[in-house]
Amino acid sequence: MIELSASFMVVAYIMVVGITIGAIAALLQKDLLRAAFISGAESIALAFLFQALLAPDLGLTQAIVGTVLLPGIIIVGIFKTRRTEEE
Amino acid sequence: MIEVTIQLLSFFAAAALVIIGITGMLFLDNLIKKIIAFILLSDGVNLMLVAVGYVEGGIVSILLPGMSPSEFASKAILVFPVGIVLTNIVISVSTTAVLVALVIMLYRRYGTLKSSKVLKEERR
Repeated sequence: MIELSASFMVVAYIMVVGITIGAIAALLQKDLLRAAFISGAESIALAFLFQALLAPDLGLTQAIVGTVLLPGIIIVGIFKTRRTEEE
Repeated sequence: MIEVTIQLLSFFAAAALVIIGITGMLFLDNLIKKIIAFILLSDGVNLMLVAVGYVEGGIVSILLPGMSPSEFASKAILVFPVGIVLTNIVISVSTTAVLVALVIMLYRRYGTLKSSKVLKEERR
């Protein structure tokens, strides 16, 4: 039986690396639609980190808002303008 | 040797998010990318506030039946940063919606998403 705090530690390590890589990868994309989806993936890693920090209400809110609502708003903006970055 | 805790890891992640967000907002040219960098910056600030309120070996801030208030106050994580961050997440959504609306209006007027081109047209 793994201790609960030790498993939270493992989750925190994975999610911190995931947040950092996801944030850098989202800003390096040429395709704006892909950047919006990657920012959503970064947001769900942040939600797991909130769970590990003993704030599950924030985890639930961040999971819904950051994964569905924010990329949705950005995707509406992309479809109203243009999808690729211009030179 | 400093002991590595979840709090310390979260501070590093928050610092990385804030640095990436400010750098992106300053140096990226695309307006949608600037909005995504703004979201990352807001996430970093939220994460720092929650990590400040974390108590090592604590419990979730729910008062269970049979638990005395003094025991709850000594063990639970701080509830004030949680309240602030819950408000801040919702405010960040509405701010992003306003920013996207402004970007759509700029695109209709100038036909481009590059902020340098928009500024050049504006100064002329």
